[in-house]
Amino acid sequence: MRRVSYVTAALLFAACNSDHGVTSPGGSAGPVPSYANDSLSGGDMTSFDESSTAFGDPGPTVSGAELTQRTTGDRLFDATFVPAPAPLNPGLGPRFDNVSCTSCHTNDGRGLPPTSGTQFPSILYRVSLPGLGPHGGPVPVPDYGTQLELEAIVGMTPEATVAAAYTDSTVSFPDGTTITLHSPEYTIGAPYMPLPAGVLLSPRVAPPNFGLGLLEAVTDSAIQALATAPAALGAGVAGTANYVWDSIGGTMRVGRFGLKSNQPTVPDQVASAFDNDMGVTSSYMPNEPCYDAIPGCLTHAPDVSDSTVQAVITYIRTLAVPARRNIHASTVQQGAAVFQSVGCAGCHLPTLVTGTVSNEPELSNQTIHPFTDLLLHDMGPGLADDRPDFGASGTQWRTRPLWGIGLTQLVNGRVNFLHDGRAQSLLEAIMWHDGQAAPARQKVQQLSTSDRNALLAFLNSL
Amino acid sequence: MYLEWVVTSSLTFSYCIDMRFSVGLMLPLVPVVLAACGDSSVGPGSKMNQGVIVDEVNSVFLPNIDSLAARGARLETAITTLAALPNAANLSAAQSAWKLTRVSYEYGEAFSFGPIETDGIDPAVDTWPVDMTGINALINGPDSLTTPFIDGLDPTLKGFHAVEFVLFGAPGTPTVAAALTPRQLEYLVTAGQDLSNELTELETAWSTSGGNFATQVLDAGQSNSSYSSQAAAMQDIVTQMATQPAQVIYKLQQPLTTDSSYYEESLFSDNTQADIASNIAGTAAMYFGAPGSTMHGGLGAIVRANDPSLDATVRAQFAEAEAAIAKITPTFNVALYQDPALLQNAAQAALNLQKTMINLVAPLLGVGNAGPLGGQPDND
Repeated sequence: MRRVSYVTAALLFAACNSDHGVTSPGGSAGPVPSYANDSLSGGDMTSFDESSTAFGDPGPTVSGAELTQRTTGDRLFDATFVPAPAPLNPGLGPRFDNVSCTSCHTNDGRGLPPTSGTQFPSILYRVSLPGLGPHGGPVPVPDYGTQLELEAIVGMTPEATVAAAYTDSTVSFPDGTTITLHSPEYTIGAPYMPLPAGVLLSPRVAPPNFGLGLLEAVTDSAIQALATAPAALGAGVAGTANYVWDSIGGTMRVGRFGLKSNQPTVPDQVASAFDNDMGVTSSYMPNEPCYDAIPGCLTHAPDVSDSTVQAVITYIRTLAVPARRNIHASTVQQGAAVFQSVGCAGCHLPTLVTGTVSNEPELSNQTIHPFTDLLLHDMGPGLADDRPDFGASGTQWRTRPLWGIGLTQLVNGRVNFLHDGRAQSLLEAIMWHDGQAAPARQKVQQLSTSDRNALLAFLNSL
Repeated sequence: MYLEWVVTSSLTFSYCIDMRFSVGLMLPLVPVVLAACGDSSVGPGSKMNQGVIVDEVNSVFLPNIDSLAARGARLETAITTLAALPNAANLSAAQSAWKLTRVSYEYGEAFSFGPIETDGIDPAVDTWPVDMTGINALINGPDSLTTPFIDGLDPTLKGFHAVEFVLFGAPGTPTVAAALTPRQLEYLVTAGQDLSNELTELETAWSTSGGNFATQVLDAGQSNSSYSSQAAAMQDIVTQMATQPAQVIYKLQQPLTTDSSYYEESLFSDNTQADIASNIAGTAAMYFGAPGSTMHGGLGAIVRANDPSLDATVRAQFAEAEAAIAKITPTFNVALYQDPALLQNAAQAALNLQKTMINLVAPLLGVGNAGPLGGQPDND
């Protein structure tokens, strides 16, 4: 099937991509950039699915043993773990944030933020103390580590509770349109052990999974080049690469995953999630996230085999990127020109090219449109978590990929953008941009109604 | 994406005995990838699509979602009656109510998209495995088992199978009404309430007075819908129908390939055969139209209009799958160990249907393997 699917994909290229590179007038906003006419956001790893399953498809050229392993990984991504001993899927906890991968990444998409006064398990909270910890990373909090586990197996106490409360403010546009911004504040409660003063807290809503294999295939040198050649991005938007500890490789690497580029590779991300999010250990991450005297907690054999982790790694790497929709609609074309002219494309870099990945032709040498530079940018005090993460400061965040963002409502049933999910619309998310992104935000705020709507139409086509 | 299973063509279980998941097969090119560019002008006519979407929503989805909520409420009532008077008759009535609710739930698994996923309802009610040790610890522990407390538990401690665990008993130790402790009954009552609440939440999410998801589907392509096109809604509906036989194959195959009854869908009640039969019934309703409804014939109407021969094949394969599943007697668990050929035969029949759905029906309906059916088997 895969060989012939490859033929199918080739035909689709001819059918869907015939006008790639065309530049056409975009009205008052300027010319339409050429990337606006390319629907294949993931290159060969593009799927043609505009349904609620759009984030969970395999790349159409994934084949053979890799497809089989991917299917195993798909099952494991959905698998629910329970406390050991158990006849099926033992190893959960003793403390954890959720019971399966898919519980946070619903439909391979985003998690949910907490509502006022409640907590919800598809967000996690990083914690640390000020200063530099192991390998230059965050300083673990004694008895807590670097992540709060908000759930526990029966008979044990979770590490803490976290409650969110939101303060609203209003933003007005020249045409009279107003939107409400929701600013969260978090309160840690019921700590199972004394919390030292000065704990830094960073909420992180689970991001979508798709396209990570392609982003991993962008070379370190390409990311470093973007950081050292800011002129290519535009004045005032120079980003910085994060350098983080590769736990599996045992070396420092360029970070690219996580909301502060604090993870270097898909394997590190997956093994870390098994361990810290579910308390499921592997040989890659053998230490349970438990710090008090739980008998056997820290000394038992890995909960899952290496092959289990590898299958999920393959699943993640082979998730395709959904193709763009309605790219030739006049408003979408107009919106692309606006996106370019107001400066969004300075950080949300439309196009990257992947490097060569051994035995992964579908990921290699692909021209992709993730709309990210994978770099850290100062986003201002309103979004700051004030918690450094390796080289990322308390105001810096990695540029979020925008591919697939227009399908979020359908895939997840709601939209919750930004690192903590506070933005309930694309326009809210834009209006939170500050720091290096302030000039672009100010331009968006001054757009005509037509151009603003066109910009949103363009984003929804991604 | 949970709907993606790879299945064998011949179901040679001895070959797969130590494999958690079976081997995928490479098959010829799917004739056309109609939905490839997200172009809603391809595939069956949009007018016909709209008629089918209306019929599916109004005559298949909504009636079952309403029935599910009503049956969940009856289960809650039956458990309350059992708690008030824990005798054999009331236990049997509660067990029957549980099984009846499962009929609707498993029927609806054929179209389990939308709020059941995005609102976290499926994990809250149908997580497997459950934490048997944890449930017993809760029952024997000091916590007040209120409905909000149960609602806040992780999904391995509540839902259908947690209720099933207490209501029917662990394998080898069937529940006896007179032996049910007050704490077990307290757990059953609140876990039953929580389950019923979740099923009502699903009904509300689809209804016009609630989340109105039905309108999202019906108005696909309009500005008030999150579906960017009618083709997008058809993709969801067709994908659900076309991949449901693979779910059935998995449910039949996993207990065999792992030689473990813990892969049975409803182990404690030994209700797996009925679950699977309901899965196929829900799939058939999407294809044929719900029995007694006024709909025009479901997705099968489009197939009939375009390829009567293919429609005849699908009809025959549905009948064969239903018959093979019906032959799994006296129960799934008994058949697993005493007559596994019954499970193999049913899996083979489901596989035949699956291949036709993926290779021929889905492409005809505008959904190809370069999209949501990627990774699905399409040949032998």
